[in-house]
Amino acid sequence: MTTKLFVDSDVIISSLLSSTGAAFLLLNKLDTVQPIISNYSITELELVMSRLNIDNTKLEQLLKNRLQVVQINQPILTLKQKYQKYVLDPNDAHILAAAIESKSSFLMTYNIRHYKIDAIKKDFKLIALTPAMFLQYLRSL
Amino acid sequence: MFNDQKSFKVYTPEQVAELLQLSKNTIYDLISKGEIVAKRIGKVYRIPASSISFAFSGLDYDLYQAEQKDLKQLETIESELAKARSIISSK
Repeated sequence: MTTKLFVDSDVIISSLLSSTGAAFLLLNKLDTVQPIISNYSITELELVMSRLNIDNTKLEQLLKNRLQVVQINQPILTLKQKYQKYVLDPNDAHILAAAIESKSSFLMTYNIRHYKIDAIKKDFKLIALTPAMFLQYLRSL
Repeated sequence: MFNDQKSFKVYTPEQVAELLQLSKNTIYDLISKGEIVAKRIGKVYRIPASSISFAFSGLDYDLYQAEQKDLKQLETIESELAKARSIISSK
């Protein structure tokens, strides 16, 4: 069975910057998980990659070979209003919204402290972990 | 916190038993199976901190190292991401 993981953009960027980091291992070395991002993720990833001078073809390859994209049609403002009680920074709301919309079991992020993980787990059965914590979890199965 | 300085520290099987809340016999058993890597010096064993990384970081040592590699760049990434999200939100 494939486990759905919604992947925050900090993890995607980390995987593009280091081929030995936990984010890269998560996205490139596991075939039992389906990593997912959203249309909003792509927009912000392109902005960040441009500012950090990261070759865009790396993301294109990841999109082609590994990532599934969930389309979120609601405006950001609506998502902020809907999910603001679950995030410390309302600008992160679209990540949570897409993770829930994609019916992911896990949210992979390095920004765990910005999400109210206990409430998210309770209300949406969505568990937020760092890539290394998730890989450690897999070893315990 | 599991840092580079601690990674050079070594522990006795008794200390590891206490850290991991296991019996001393279980530790010797895990050493003989190779699940805990130890160095035999004469008749005694010493266990490097990297073999029991989980006790310090919640992660096996290889995963701890992999996470540290990502964390080196994380401050820059989070800062740029916050700016990008601010731009997207204002549209």
